[in-house]
Amino acid sequence: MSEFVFLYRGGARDRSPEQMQQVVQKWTTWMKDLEAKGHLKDRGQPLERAGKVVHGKHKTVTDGPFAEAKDVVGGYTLIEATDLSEAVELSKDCPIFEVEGAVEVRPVMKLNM
Amino acid sequence: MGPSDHLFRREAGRMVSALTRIFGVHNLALAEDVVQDAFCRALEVWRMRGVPDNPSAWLMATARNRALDILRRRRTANNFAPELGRLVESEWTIAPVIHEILAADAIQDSMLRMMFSCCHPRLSEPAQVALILHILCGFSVDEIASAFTGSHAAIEKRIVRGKKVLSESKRLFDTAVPAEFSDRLPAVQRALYLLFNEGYHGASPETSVRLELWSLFSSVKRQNDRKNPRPNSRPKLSQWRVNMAIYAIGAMRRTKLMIGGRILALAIQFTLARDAAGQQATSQLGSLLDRQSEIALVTGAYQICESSAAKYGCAAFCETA
Repeated sequence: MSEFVFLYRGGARDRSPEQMQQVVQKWTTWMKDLEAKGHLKDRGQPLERAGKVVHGKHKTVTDGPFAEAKDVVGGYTLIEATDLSEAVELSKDCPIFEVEGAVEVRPVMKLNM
Repeated sequence: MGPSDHLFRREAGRMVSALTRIFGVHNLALAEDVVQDAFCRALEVWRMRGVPDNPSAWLMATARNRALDILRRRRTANNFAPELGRLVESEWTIAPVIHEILAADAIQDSMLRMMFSCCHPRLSEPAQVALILHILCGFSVDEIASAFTGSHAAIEKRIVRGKKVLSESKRLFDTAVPAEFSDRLPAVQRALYLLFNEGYHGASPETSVRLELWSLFSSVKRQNDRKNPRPNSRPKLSQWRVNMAIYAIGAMRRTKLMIGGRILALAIQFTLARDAAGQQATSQLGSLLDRQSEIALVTGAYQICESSAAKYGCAAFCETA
């Protein structure tokens, strides 16, 4: 088994209470399903949308990240799958796609030589 | 949080009402923003970490912290609720005052006041109902439009205008003043009636939220009747019970307890379909219609088309009770 990180990007925020309820329920179902099938290594954490970016030789601090709302990472999850293509298949059931969001699937680098 | 739970909708009305007590009714939009912020936060945290054991408390705590932030940051620049006055200006009083307003029984009171505020005499009945649905039941413009089979633009206009009228009133309606309370009571009853009627005839599938509004309203109404017994309140009370009975019947029909007014089918349904809404409706119907004479009242009131179904409903209730 290999490890993968799902990075959740974007997702429309302007929704009615009932739509929000449905989104939460869909995520709960999806996460439970991943867990039941043994793919959920770590639920991960949600991330605040705004923070600071420190960059350059002068360590300039700016508000960030600069990405557009649809590109901002809102959270991550650690997944176990046999290979990248299985991880990609697992991501396809994520409810984020219903709200114009995206999942970035990144393999965790293996440290053993 | 099960599939039949409408947590966000239910909390939207509670939270907006309570926050309006803090910010003042002229800052309704600010109260709505704070609620929307809390919901967005909940969505982002819960989707990853799961729904907490007490999601209502979680939402309210998030909104409370945000409200305190805003009050601390803007108290000098802004006039918030006049009734809070200088209490929000001091760091010693601000937190306890906010806690008190966001406590459960205070919220009930705020919701009732919001309900009466929405039934402003300057607003048409459809506008009053749309406002209640929007502010107290957490329905979006689109959801109201589909329930009323109206256009998005028309409903939006109605709500925007309604909110404008609402925010021009300095404070939430004070239900503790008996004269004003009974003046506006008929409007509130009519709005609630329309609310249930639309809910039954229209496409909207939700009853739980409106049932909650109704039971909130009826419990406070009962308290008020006890506190302010009026010598001539008897006919009004009957009318009141009739309205309540009609809502109960509407709610029962929503839960498919009645099919074509057929009593046999109904009696069977009665024992089979005991979901939360149905149970609540039937038990309240039972307490309201415990005497045969009141069935006659029901059939007369509002010329309801379901009168025969109402009779069957009551008969079936008596049989099963």
